[in-house]
Amino acid sequence: MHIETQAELLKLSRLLETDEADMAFLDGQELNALAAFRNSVSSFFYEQHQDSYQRLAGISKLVPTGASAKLATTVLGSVLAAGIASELPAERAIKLADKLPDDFLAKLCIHLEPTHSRALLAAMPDKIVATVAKALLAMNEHITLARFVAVIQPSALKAVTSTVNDGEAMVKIALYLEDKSKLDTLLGLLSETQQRAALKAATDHELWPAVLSLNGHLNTRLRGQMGNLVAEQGDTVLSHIIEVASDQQLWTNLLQAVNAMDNTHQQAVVNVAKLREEHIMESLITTVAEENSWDELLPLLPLLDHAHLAPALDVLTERQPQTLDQALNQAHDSNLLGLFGHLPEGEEQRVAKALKSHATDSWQAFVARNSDAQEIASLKAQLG
Amino acid sequence: MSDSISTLKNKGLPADALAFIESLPADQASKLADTVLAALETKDARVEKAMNNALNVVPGPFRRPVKKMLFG
Repeated sequence: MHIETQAELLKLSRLLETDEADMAFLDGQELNALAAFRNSVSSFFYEQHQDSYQRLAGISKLVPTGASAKLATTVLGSVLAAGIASELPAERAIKLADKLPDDFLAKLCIHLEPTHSRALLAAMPDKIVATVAKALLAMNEHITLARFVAVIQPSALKAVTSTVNDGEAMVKIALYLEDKSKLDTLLGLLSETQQRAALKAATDHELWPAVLSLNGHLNTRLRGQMGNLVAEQGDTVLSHIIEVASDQQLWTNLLQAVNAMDNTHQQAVVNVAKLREEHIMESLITTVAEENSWDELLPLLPLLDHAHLAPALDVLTERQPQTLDQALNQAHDSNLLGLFGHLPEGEEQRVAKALKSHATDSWQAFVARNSDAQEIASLKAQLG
Repeated sequence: MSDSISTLKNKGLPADALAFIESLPADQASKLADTVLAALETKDARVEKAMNNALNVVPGPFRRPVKKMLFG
């Protein structure tokens, strides 16, 4: 199961108070559709009891905040208190929050309905947010914390992130973010030490699928920054990442990360011995063809040493020669020229043969578009 | 349409959520609707219990007006 689907089904199972495994039959549904369904059901559940929450909030407003806090902790419990808090004016809710024990407040936050509590969370003072976040971290409540990230004030987010040193928590909070466009903001707030801790946790806690998947949501600068840190993890970790990319079809994400690295790190990553393995290279080309990510792969192929390029060409010219035709039709010409211009002399012949037997028309069209390109002069001569 | 889907429809489950359930193969749609309905019942029971707990701590003479405020 794709890691982001797994995260979505975990959120749904929590809402439906059932076991995560019970929702596995929804694997294969579109991620956005699952999230929209969950949000719709969450609002529906809340609205079923909204009248009760409003009545209790009405009573709460009649008594001093100290008495309300006492009532909440001793009688109502965190689930009901969460509903009531969402129906109180933000100013009153904040006064009440200030009187509640940290643990109770954290539990209350777990049960807040995201849509109906957005305004309340946005209005919460940084001090209360930071206290609650600390308690939620201790409870491993990463899903709730991810919900916080989306709505709390930037100053509160900064205060919270500066205190998080648990790499596993950082990766999981990022994974559970509803709006992945917030990922740039979140990661941008982390120090290099924290970013390294997140990558170490990825290795220690089998979280590379999450890190690779999240990488696809980052802007190019952060992707490069994180990519360079990944490249410094050493061959054992890099080999493991390659296996994860192969098992979970996360090649496009990995290729994006490598493309964003600086050249030295790129050279190191693309020439890891693991990539020479037949099934790994086959999986790479298959995924690239399926996801049409040729423009991510092709710029990296000229960086491969001959020992690595040969297995790539084995797949492209012998085991899946039809993919050459697809690449010629779909990749950017400059990326194809980069590959053809860097073919070792001994490899040109088999590439020419594969082009002739599997991609005649697309090769002719490519040549017509690039008639003056020196990079293909030799191949053109071989093809006659 | 399964009983659970009909019940959820009657209880006002939004059209987009119903459409998602109904887009699934029949056995999966039924399973998901059953789970949503069971969760709703659990939450109903929890809220009702908490409301009753709240009422029980109200001193006797005030219980009737508070009950009216809570339950209408």
